[in-house]
Amino acid sequence: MKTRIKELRARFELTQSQLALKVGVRRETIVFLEKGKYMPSLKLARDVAQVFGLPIEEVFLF
Amino acid sequence: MQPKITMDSNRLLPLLLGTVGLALVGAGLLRWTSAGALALDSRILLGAGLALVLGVVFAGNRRRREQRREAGFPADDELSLKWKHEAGYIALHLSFFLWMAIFFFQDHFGERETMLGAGLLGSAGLYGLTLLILQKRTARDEDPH
Repeated sequence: MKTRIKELRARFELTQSQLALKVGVRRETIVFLEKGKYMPSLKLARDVAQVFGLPIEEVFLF
Repeated sequence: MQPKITMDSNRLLPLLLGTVGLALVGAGLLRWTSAGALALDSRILLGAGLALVLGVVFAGNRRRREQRREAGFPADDELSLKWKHEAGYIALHLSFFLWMAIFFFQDHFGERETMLGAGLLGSAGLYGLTLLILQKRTARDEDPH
């Protein structure tokens, strides 16, 4: 799985910590999500996508 | 808002691990001195030092968790819980082999309590080690921000 989180984070000028705070997870989780090393729950995927105002499938590329 | 963490957790973790290492060395010394190598008052002093070290570890760990919580980060999230569950599952299976090995080499243990203690400590150590490996197995954090 690949994600566009890093790219979107840069576009929205968000740090990993800020994104983690917005979705209520630890910063390490954002790190692993960005690297595609962790498959998130549907809820977390939705929360992350909502921060960027995009549907899930545009943030997480399967 | 940028979270305020007064002490970098990357620096705190080695400190905690170092303290744990010192505590283990202290425990070894205590075990050694119980064989009669040191006088009673020295043993008491060593025990007090060991208790102090353990206290520092607990306080440091608690402070680290509080700092993270105050900064707005949860103590556990779905990834960390997944790590813990997986580590528990793997450590449980490895512990079976550990206990088999311990029973196989039971003649090498002087006392039954020592054997049980080694097994319990080994099981706990296996869990900690598995958790650490699971966390580090993935790529290292390249972007601190």
